[in-house]
Amino acid sequence: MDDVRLRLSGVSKTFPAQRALSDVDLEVRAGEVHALVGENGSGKSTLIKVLSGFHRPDPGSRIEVDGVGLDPGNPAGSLAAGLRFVHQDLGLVDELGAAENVGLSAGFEGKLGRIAWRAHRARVRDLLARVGVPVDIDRPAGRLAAVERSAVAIARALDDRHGTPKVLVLDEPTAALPPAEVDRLMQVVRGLRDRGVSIIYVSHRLGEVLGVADRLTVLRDGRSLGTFSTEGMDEAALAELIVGREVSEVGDRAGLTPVPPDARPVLSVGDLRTDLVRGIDLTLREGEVLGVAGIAGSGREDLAEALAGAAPATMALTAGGVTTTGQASVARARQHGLALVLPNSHPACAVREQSVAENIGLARPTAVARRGWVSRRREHAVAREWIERLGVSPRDPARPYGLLSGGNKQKVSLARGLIGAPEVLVLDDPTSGVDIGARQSIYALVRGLAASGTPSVVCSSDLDDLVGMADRVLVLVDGEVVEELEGEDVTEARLLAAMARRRPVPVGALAEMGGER
Amino acid sequence: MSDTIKGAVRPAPTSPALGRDDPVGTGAEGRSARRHPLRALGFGTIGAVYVWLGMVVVFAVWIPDLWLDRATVTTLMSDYAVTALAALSLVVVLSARLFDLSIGSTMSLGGVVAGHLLATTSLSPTLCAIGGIAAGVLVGLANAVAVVWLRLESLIATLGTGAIVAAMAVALSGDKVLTERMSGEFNLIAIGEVAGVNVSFLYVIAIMVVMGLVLEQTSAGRRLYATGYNAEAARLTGVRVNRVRVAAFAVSGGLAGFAGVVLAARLQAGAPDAGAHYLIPAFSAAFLGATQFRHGRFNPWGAVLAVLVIGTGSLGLTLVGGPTWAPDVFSGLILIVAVAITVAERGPRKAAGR
Repeated sequence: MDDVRLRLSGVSKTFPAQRALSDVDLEVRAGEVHALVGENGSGKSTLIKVLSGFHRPDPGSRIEVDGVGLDPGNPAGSLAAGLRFVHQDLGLVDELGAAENVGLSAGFEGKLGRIAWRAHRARVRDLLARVGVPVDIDRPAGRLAAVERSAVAIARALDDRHGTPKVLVLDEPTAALPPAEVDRLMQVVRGLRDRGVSIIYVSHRLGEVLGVADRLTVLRDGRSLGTFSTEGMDEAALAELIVGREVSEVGDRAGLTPVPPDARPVLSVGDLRTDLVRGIDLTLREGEVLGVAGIAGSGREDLAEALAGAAPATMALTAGGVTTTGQASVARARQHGLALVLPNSHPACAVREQSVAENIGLARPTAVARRGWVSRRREHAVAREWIERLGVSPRDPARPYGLLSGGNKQKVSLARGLIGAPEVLVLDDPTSGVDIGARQSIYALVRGLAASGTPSVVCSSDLDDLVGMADRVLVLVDGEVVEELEGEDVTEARLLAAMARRRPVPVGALAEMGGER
Repeated sequence: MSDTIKGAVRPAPTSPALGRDDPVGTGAEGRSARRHPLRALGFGTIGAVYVWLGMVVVFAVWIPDLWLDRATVTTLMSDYAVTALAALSLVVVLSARLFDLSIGSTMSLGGVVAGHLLATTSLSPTLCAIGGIAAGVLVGLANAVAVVWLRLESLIATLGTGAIVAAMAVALSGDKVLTERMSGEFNLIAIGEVAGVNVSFLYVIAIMVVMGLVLEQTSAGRRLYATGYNAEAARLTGVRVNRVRVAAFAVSGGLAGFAGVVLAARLQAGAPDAGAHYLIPAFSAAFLGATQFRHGRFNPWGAVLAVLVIGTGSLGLTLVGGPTWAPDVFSGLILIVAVAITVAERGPRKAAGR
């Protein structure tokens, strides 16, 4: 079984600002599960988009399927060559059933535009049988179990009307799956492999990768570090391979001074629950930066917004000398002195159409208005102060917020949080889309704030953020804290290993799954 | 302060930090300050003014006798004052990104309520007018109930309330045009003059100025715009978004009611369908106005300027002997052109299907 199904040689992709892929070689054999691993920004998604024809690779790149060259940057060509993709969000229309969802992308059976429903349904059932998960094909996709939704998306990808599917690319297929359903998906993947389909499996969950993949290729900074057999490899070794660097320049912890263990707690949260978070407790001490890590779906992405009342949640919250319980709300968070700083990529981060000055003023009207009347001069003076303090560029308070670069948006967003003189700053992914220089200054700022009386909770998908800022990090897996790292233990490798851990599936849940199906 | 002193004593700054920072700072500010006066007169900012001037010249050449007459000016000022009031009422709700399709009906109801009070009570005309405005506020609050509490799309909600309000106007008037006590004192509400200037025109100017100040110079105005642009971001910064929406609907409804009262006073008649004709011109003016002065922001000056453009065009087309439907075509075209400009300003078209 050593024949090569898909071969990439010297694939590069240069964007105007950066080189996303440099000279990547990759060979996927027929009937193997080949994992693609790497940190955020290592080039995995670019590589997938090059394969799907969404991006055209640089000249000189070569992609072959079964020895036949692929026309680069042509989605129809990729489809005809047998490359199929299941993206993380699956792309199903929630209101339609499996039959229609498959038909929408793969085409319906029938003549002259009239759908031959009987034949079409038979075909969809056949596809789903190949996937191996029984699904009610008339049930709206939005009401299917997560693994059933994945099955519908895979069935759709396996449709052979546009050529035989040869390579199936699964992008983070388990990110949205509850643990009990992950095993079912693994069975599906193995089943497909045994039928001769080659699978490229992209995942952050290292345990899963080692469990299901035959071989893996590691990407780092757009380069391939080579292909390795998963046999005999353990999670720690893989984590080290992915992270690579000794101590990254960005995540330099030299400036961190340890927080004394008896420091006064500023914020205590008890039994925080959201859709993803299942009752966690946390305490933030004076002078501390508390990090929260976790892969997509772990509850990390919910936590910041939940604390600040932006997303539905319940908790017992003690801060600013008061304790309240029940539903989170913006008013409640503000009463406790919590300020939320959203990632600049978040649609609700700030008002794009309004100027920097208006955005800063809106966060604290009393600073710029007297009896409801805004003085434009005051508004601009206040904005200019923050522009100076945080180094926003260009230094123009009248500039529309939407025209700023990512890093400068983030700084304005920070100013919006800080202007209310909060007790606690809650940051969500504070460096997404932020270049390295701005990153450093944000890290320094957050540390400085903690030292001068405003501690922070930093939830981030970027490990550099946590290594660079946090005194202590809580690692979430499936909505629960599985590990707490402190001081010298906060390293990328340790974080990655903890994040990739899977919560053991309770025996009860397994029985339930078996009983149901 | 200390920078200036240092600079005065020693022109060349000794501190490298100062030397690096200062030019950037003054440069950026200087640029934005210099940019303004030119941009303020550019076609992209006040294009409607040039269009208006162009129309004035065209009609002046075409029909000099009819056009260059004091009657033309007074007709424009009094006839289109009602359109301007309706457009101003829309500016308030549209700024909060709420559509109000009920304003036509609300205007009718305002006129009918005033007429009904005049006919059935002995209240003073002013109080009857206030009754009409109050009816408008109530319609606004009903819209708010549908949009804020029942969480309907404002377009759908106000389509529904508009139909109901129109029916209420018919019911209250008994499907008749109310004219009792409409002449005389009530009539003066629309045609009176202060220092030789028509009062309707003065209402428009006064409301435009007050609204302009409130939208641009108060926290309330900032909250209104923020709610319209990005309700979630506004909510997270502590703006009570729903309260803003309720207030916007109430103010807008009251203004529409007032527009209806002025219309009834001018016509000396409270007709149950009088307001319907103002819906499209008002929307056209509000949207065209948004392309003026403030680059995409709904604003009262732009709306009034746009009414002037629509009024001049419509009146001119009537005076040159154009068909009766020409003004409607004109205001419909204005609506489409105005929105097309807004869309074009928002940036290059995105790839189809993405």
